[in-house]
Amino acid sequence: MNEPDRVQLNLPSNPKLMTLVRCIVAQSAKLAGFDEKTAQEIVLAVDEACTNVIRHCYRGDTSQAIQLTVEVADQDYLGISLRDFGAKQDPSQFKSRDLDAVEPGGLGMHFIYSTMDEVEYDSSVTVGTLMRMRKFIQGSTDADH
Amino acid sequence: MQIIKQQEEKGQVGLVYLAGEVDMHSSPALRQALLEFARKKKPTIVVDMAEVDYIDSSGLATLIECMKKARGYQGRVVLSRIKPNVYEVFKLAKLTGFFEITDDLAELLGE
Repeated sequence: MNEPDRVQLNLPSNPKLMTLVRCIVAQSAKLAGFDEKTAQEIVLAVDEACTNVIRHCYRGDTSQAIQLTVEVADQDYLGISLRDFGAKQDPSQFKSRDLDAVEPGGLGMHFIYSTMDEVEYDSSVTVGTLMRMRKFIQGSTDADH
Repeated sequence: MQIIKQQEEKGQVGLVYLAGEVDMHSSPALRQALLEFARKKKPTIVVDMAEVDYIDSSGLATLIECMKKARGYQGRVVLSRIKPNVYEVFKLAKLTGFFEITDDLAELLGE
């Protein structure tokens, strides 16, 4: 099995730059072998994760650092690592709302969990949090890894 | 890049034409425009999305907030001409039944 290709993006926590993140993730998903629809779902999940960092870890501060690593494993999976250096978050608080109780908030986590096959938070890093997500190509599962 | 391509009032209708990506960066401008219509108690608020390529939870939250405010005065919010890939996001969020959605803007405006 070939080693996956990794692309790392270091960017400030400015929402206007999320369009760049989306472009990179979209193309990376297609490189990994995902169809257009799934690629767009992955884009949305990653976008939501970044938005959560800006909103909750950095409380809207646009001058902080976000480190995004995209791992492209052709015909196998797309891996996303998102590192922030802000306030430690309690993953047990990351819940999506009941979709039948329509409110403006609470959809971001739903998009993340409904799309990605693996989602984990690592708060053991010295500063901030490291979030990892993976989406497997159909037929390739975490059992293979 | 401005998310609002055009904003106008046609009698009882407040109409905003969007273009681009509705996300955390652009949704505040959309929110401002929609809340302005809601403050005026526009009976019908139309958000035309023919040129919207992307929407995330920030954009959806803005639309939901507007809908709730409009319902407060028995107003209606209509989303028009949503692209298929954007409509998928509404489906994922189970919001297709919450909003009034149309593909025929001309008919909606009585043109």
